[in-house]
Amino acid sequence: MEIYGRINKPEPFPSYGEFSTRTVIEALAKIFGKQPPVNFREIDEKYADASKLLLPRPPILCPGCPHRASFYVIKRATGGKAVYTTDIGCYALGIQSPLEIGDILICMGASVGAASGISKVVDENVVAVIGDSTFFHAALPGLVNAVYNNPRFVLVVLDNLTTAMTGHQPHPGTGVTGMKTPGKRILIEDIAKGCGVEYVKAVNPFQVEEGVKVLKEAMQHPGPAVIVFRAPCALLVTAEKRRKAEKIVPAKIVDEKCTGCMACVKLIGCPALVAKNGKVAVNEALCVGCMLCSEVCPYGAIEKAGKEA
Amino acid sequence: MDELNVILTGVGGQGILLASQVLGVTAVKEGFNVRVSEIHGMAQRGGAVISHVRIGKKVYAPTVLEGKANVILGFEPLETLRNIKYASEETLALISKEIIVPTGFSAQPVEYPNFEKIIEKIRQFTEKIIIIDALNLAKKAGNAITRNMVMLGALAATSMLPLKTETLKETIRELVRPAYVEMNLKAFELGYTAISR
Repeated sequence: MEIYGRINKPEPFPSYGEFSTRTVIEALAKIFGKQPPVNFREIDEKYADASKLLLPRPPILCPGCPHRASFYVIKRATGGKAVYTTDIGCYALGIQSPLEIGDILICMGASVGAASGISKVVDENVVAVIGDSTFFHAALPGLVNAVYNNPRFVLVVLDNLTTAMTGHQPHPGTGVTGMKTPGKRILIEDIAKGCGVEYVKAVNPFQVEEGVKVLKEAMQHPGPAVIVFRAPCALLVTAEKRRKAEKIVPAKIVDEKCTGCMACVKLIGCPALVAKNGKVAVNEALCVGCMLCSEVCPYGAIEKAGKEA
Repeated sequence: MDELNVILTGVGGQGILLASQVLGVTAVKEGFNVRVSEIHGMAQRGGAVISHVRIGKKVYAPTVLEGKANVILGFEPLETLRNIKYASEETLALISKEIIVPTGFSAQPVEYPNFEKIIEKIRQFTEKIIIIDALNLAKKAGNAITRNMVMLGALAATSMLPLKTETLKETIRELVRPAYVEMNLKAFELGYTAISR
């Protein structure tokens, strides 16, 4: 009996990469010396031409995502000049422009250990970013070691009160068990203090000025500092509003005030903000009205829609 | 019908996964073998989304083979083009003309390609194209968020589906939050009549 797999030479199956239905059919066709049921070459040729029109559309942080606010705060407080270690979760998307928070991403919990080590060898500020559920899952050994070795860095815990990336599972910080029954809520601040961290604070990242102030203060701390940026996942907020049949009020650009400076588009990279005819437009189908853009606009040109209503 | 392969594609947040679920659940109710595969990377809004729905007496592969989709339900023109490899000249492309410009990752405003040009490229794969103003119909029904139901209604009206329209509506009643059932059914109707007219 012949057994085929990735290591066959010559390879009917590719030696790396994901298998699609096409990959498997092409390999089987080769093995049995038959024609595949579809003329893939013709499809590829037509697609090579058609795809010239395409623009990339990678996953991005949702409109209203509190991580966007946190990253904006981090960027403001550090002037974009710190070393940023990041971790596994939606917030890894902070690596993208224009937020660009994330120089190093290894595995769950590694943001803490990497920050501890790097802060020993660089003069810049070091900011580690980790989500709430990843914090509970994998940050504690690193944090204890950081307290023990006393490197100077700030661990920012992005607490959106859920495990957002994998489908909103509860974790020890939510006060709900895996069986959806009430459980003991464990506060990230309490754990940090329990590990011996001397600077611990919690802030709402949508309060931008307060957030910047606290982070700047934390960067002055001589040892490891922990800041919890706490605001619920935007998907939870909108789901809750829908459940209660509350209206989701989007942001609105005040045309007379908008100068088309594009600060909002350039600084926060929100998918609900679109450059249009030299000015900015709000995509009302996407905007959930978090109003981070109004915090960023230098001309006060963004407000809640239907203010007059 | 041996099998029906549907590709649903668009942008995260357009309700593609719920639309796929409605198709899948309805097909199970009507005694079909079903495969629904949502391939959307991180379940983020704003990212490209594709969902494969395969309905038949017996379907095996979890995803549709390139060139073998019977229907591409395109919630957004550019995303329809991105996944046009699944089409052959037999494929019906039912496309919503709602344009969602990808977020610019640089300070440069994004130049979204001309709509007609996109359709022209799609036409190189299939001439069977129906364009629908799903967003406006959804707004007429009460909320942009019901555009997925407009698309399902439109698909039901093409008579490509081996599923009863009544059963589709029944599934919508079951899967949508009670407060929104009427709005969603209205959107379904608007999509249905837009195509059957």
